[in-house]
Parts: sequence; structure tokens; C-alpha cells
Amino acid sequence: MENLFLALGLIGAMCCVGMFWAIEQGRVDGSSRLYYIVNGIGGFLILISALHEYDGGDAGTVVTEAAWVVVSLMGIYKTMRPKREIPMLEINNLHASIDGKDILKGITLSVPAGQVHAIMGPNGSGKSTLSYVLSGREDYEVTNGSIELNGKSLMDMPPEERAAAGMFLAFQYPIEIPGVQTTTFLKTALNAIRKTRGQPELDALSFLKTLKSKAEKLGVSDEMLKRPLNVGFSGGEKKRMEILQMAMLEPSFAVLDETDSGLDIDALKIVSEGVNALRGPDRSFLVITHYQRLLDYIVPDVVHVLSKGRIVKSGGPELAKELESTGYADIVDAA
Amino acid sequence: MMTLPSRYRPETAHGFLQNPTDGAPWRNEALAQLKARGIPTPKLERWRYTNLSAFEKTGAVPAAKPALSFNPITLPWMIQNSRKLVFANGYLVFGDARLTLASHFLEVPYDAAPMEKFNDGMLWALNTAFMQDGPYLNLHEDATVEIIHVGLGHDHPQLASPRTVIEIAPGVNATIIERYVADGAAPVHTNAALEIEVAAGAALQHVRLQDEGYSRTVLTSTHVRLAKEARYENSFLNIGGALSRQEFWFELLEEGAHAGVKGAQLMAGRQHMDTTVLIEHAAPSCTSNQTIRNVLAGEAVGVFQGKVHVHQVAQKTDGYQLCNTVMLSDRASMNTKPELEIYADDVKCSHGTTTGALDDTPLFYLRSRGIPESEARRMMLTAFIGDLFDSLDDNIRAALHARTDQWLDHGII
Ligand SMILES: Nc1ncnc2c1ncn2[C@@H]1O[C@H](COP(=O)(O)OP(=O)(O)OP(=O)(O)O)[C@@H](O)[C@H]1O
Ligand SMILES: [Mg+2]
Repeated sequence: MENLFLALGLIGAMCCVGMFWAIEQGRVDGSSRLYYIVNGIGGFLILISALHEYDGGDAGTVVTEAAWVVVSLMGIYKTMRPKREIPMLEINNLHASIDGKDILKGITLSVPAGQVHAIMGPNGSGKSTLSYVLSGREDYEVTNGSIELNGKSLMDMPPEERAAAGMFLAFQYPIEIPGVQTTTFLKTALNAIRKTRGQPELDALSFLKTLKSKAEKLGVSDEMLKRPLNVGFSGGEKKRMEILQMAMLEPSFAVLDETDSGLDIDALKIVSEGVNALRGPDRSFLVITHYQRLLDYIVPDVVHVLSKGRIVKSGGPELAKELESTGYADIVDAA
Repeated sequence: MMTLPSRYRPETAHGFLQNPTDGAPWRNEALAQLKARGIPTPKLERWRYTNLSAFEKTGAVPAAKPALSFNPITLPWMIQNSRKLVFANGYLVFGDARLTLASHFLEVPYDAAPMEKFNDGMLWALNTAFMQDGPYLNLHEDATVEIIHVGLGHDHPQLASPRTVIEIAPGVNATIIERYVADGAAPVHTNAALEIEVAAGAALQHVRLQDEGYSRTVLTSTHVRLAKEARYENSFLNIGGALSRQEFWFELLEEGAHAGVKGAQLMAGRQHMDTTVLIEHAAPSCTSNQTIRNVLAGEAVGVFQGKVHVHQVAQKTDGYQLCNTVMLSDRASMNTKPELEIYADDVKCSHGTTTGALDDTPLFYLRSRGIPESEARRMMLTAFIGDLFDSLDDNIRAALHARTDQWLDHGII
């Protein structure tokens, strides 16, 4: 019996020493689950052995081994967590229709935090529809499926709540709103979002300062900010205004619907820089485009091809290049 | 160059038409006309959409002069140093000394023209028969005049009949602000008549804020005559009254004159609001503009009738008319009747109307930026009405915008 406990203590010690050796050899990663589990089991065995020997004298060994066990458990928890972490945007089997016509026919898509996914696809395949459904346009009826942003279902939220939850859509065709001054609009929107999020309203001065510096970077003039929202703006100016809105509202998830169309070469660069400046571990993008060129500037992690309301192919950035030369015919026919 | 003959005493700089104690002959004449024809009914062409029977049933009697229980200076004036006049139940109760407040009894001839013209000028006759005081403003220098009408009260229904006569001398640039304010719930109805003459090269900006109590009948008839290169611009905001109708009759009598009416009718509950315009182009190269915006909530009924009549001599006429309506409820109804009657061949006339709910697409755009639906609707309505008043003086515009905002806060229930 005495030997059994001694053997357990020895096996435990071998586990711990083995892991020390493995990590020195670079065979395991210090943050891997294996490392924590084996070390933890080792510590646990030594603890049992030490407890058996325990006569009230050597409390130090017991406490040390108990501490090792706790540290291991914490390590295991930590390495498991990324696996359990919810992707920023999770779309599951999404079906949507308008006026009784089915447009989206089962879209499943998950965009992890910090990633950029691109969506390409023929005209009329449902790309804009997807963007509208994500941001809660009421004309569309979602007949099946679910959308979650940061673990929260968006399904029952009106558009304004989705915006406050972090959703943003840069429209393919931005809307002209006569009579609403651009600056006033931006301030109302920003403060409405801050209010819903429980943040204090921004005072006029710091708002203007932020706006000025962001507008300047995107080449949006003061004069444009004074005009009614999008009214009389050129196609490219409207697209820049969309990105300025995004920069001001700082969403966690942004859908850019053909933001590149209508932009000249310089503007494309400016807008892409604007988008890239916003990239970060806490923000993801869904970039809808017809052209590889945009994806040279905003390099995506994943490219999806949408056809007839379904995602028919996904791949790395090279997929976009492939499409540029082959077109959609092959993929769409194969699907 | 023809100058318009004053139909009043031309030697009087300013004065007031006073309610004479005698039965002046023109009153009897008007009364006789009224008795023969009665109050307009929907059987008449221009009264098809507005029924005055509810007003008739009130049994209102000519109003008595009330005692003022407040200091007129505390009323909601728009311009600090304007020349101010206050009429209570149609009687002058407060007047700016600069308007020469000496009383003049003026021989008012009965103006039969509206009656003959439309066969429906009974309201004009009604005003003439019972007219009380009224400002007679003969403006020889640039000025801003503010007129406030209040109905004060007794519990039996009364009818105020103010008559306003305005003559703008050649080359003078004037602004007149006419405001009907609600004060308590006294059943004081109004049937006002305004006669306006703008002489050659003169300009009149006429602002009207009809902000009467929600139980009242408010009727106004405005007749404007314009000489060579005279300009008349009306900007109105109609909010009050259970039943209201404003009638405009513009006569462009000499070359190069311009008449415009721009305004908004905001109605809710069971309000009925009518704006009826007739513009007569009776000389060449005149321009006219009608820009009307309506917002209807609840079970409100709105009316806009706008007619441009281009006489044969009126070559190079430019007439523009646009009436846009936003329906916030499907129980409300709007009646729009644009009319063009053209006898000249070289004219440019356009008219257009739109009626519908607030557009979904911009609403969604605003909401997708985090703006709550009610706020987004409000922004769009403010924008819909807002630019109507852009050309006005800052203070006036601010006052009209403030009243619009207030309506948007409380009106659309
Ligand atoms: N109101 C509607 N009624 C009927 N069909 C509609 C309506 N709106 C969109 N559609 C249809 O839905 C389909 C998808 O349209 P959507 O705008 O999503 O395409 P897209 O992929 O964005 O195309 P593009 O590349 O041209 O922007 C199209 O066939 C379109 O005709
Ligand atoms: Mg599209």
C-alpha cells in the first residue's frame, strides 16, 4: 500500500519533469492544453502521495502541489476558451424572401472576430439582400434561420437596435435625404447609439473635432458636411460618406456593399486605407464586391461565392483571383 | 404706368376701420347678399370638399369687445422692434403709436368683386356685414408689422370679423406677420378678410401663423392686387382650428409682378384644413408660385385647391405649383385639385402633386445608423416642412420651426 502511493508520487513527478523536458525541446507549446493537462495530472498525483505521507509536519509540499493543481486547471480553462468563443457574426441556414419571392435560400456563414470575409457573386444572386436582411430592413421576410452578432440574436431587433449592437451597412446605393444636414445627422446617429449603449452624449465640440479629423482623412470636405445628407453628392462622394459614417459610429461588424463601385483609383485607395485603419481584433467585415482590385487593398481572410441565394464556394484570397480569370460560370454550374 | 386707385381714403396715412354704431349702407347691402345666398355649401364648385354646416350650427353671434386680462407685450411676438397690433375678438385692443392710432371712420364701399367673380363670396359678405375694427395700413416706408388676433371669452359662441386693409406704396419693402393665437377654450370663431395692394416695385412678405384653438372655426379670405414689378410672398403655417379654410385670390395686374404662396398645413385628430388659391395672370411676364406641404395624422381631412388662370394678354407667364402631402395615418384623407386655365400661348406653367406615407427607404437608412424610428420620422417630417421657410428672416423662421417642432412633439397622437 505504501508502495502504491510512492509509485503515484513518482509517476506524477515524471509527468511534470516530462513536460518540462518537452517544453524545452519545443515539442509542446507552453499554452497548449496537453501541457496543462499532463502537468495538472502530475501535480494531482504528487498531491495524493504527499497527502498520504502527511503527518501534520510538511504542510509546505501539500500547499505547493495544491497550488500546481489549481494553476493547471486555470490553464486548461484558458486553452479551452477560444474553442468555446462565439464567432462575431454567425448566420445559420438563413432564408429570406420579398413579396413572396425567395431570394436567400439557406445561407450559413460565420465570421470570427478580427476577420474580413469577402462575398462575390453574379448580379442578382442576393448579396445586397443579405446585407439588408442583416441590418434589419423590414421589407424582407426572414422565413427560416438565425443571425447572431456577438452571441446575441438579431432576429427580433429593429434596425436601430442592430446598429447599437454593432451592425453597420455601407449601402450599395446610399440614400439622399434632403433637408437633413450631414453633420446634424451624424451627431444624431452617434448620440442615439451612445444613448442605447448607456454612454453619455458627446458634447458638440469633441464631436466636431472627431468628425473633422476623420473627414479629412477620407477626403470629405467641410462643405460636404454642411450639405443635406448625400444630396447632389457624386457617386464616389456618397461612398466616402458611407465610410465616414462607419468611422464615426465605430461598429463591431460592418457590411460594405460594393463600396468600391463608383470610386476612382485614388479614392479606392483612400477608402481602403480608411477601412484598414478600422481593422482590429474586435471588428469584422463582410466586403461585397465584384472586383479583385478592392481585395488587393483590403485583403480578406476568406472569400465566399454567392449564387442564387446560396454560398456555393468558399476559399482563401486566391479564390478571388481565380474568379477574376475564370468568371462564375464554372462554379455556378458545378453547384 | 398705371397706379392702382385706392378704394379707401388715399389721404390717410394709417387708420383703423372702426366698427360704426350706425347701420352703414354697405353693411345692409352685404347682409342682403348674404341672406339671399346663405353660407357656402358643398354644392358650390369651390366648396366641394369643405362643409361649413358645423360652423353654422354653432349659432355664433357677432363678437363683443372683451376686456383684456393680460399685457399684450407678453404675447408671443416674433420680432422685437416690430410695429405691433393686437385684436381681441376682432376689436383693436393694443396698437403701436408709430402706426398713427388716430381713429378714422372710413367709408368702406362694399366690395362685391369676390361675389361676382366666384358666385361664392359669401364669407366676404359676411365679413363686410359684421366687420369690426381692422388695421388699415398704408405703408410709405419699409416696416415690419405684427398683428396678433386673440379670441377671448365668453361661453356662448361668437364670431370675430376683422378686416385688414394693407397698401404698400411704390418701392416700399414691408413685412407683415399675421398671427392667430389660441387663448383658452372660448368658442370664438373667426371670419377674416384681407385686402392687400402692392404698388409698383414694392414688395410685401406676408407671414401667417394660424395657431388657433382646436375647437374653433377659422376662415380667412385674402385678396391681393399687384402692380408693375410688385412682389407678394405669403408664407403660412396652419396648425389650429377644428375647421379652417384660407382663401387666396391674387391678381397680377401689371407686367413683371410676382405672387407666391408657400406654406404647410399640419393636422391631426379630426381637424379639417382647406387652402384654396386662385392666381390670375392678367398681364404679361408675371410669375407665380404655389408650394404647399401637408402633413395629416389621425382622421384629419386636408384640402388644397390651386388654380392658375392665364388671361390672353398674359404672354410669358411663368406659373409653378407643387403640392406634397405626407399621410401619417390611413384614416386621414387629402383632397388635391390643381387647375390650369390658359388662354395665352407663350406660357410656362407646371403643376405637380404627391401624396403618400413617409418613404420607407430613407427611413430605413436613418434607422440603420441607430436613429430610433420615431426620431427618424421626425427628422424626415422636419425636413419635409423645413425648407419652406428658408427665405424668411431668421427670427421668423426660428419661430415657425419651433412651432413645427412643438407640433411634431405633441400633434401626431
Ligand atoms: N422588391 C423586390 N421584389 C422582387 N424581387 C426583388 C425585389 N428586390 C430584389 N429582388 C430580386 O432579388 C434578387 C437579388 O437582388 P440583390 O439586390 O440582392 O442582388 P445582388 O446580388 O446585390 O446584385 P448586384 O450585384 O447587381 O448588386 C434579384 O433577382 C432582384 O431582382
Ligand atoms: Mg447588390
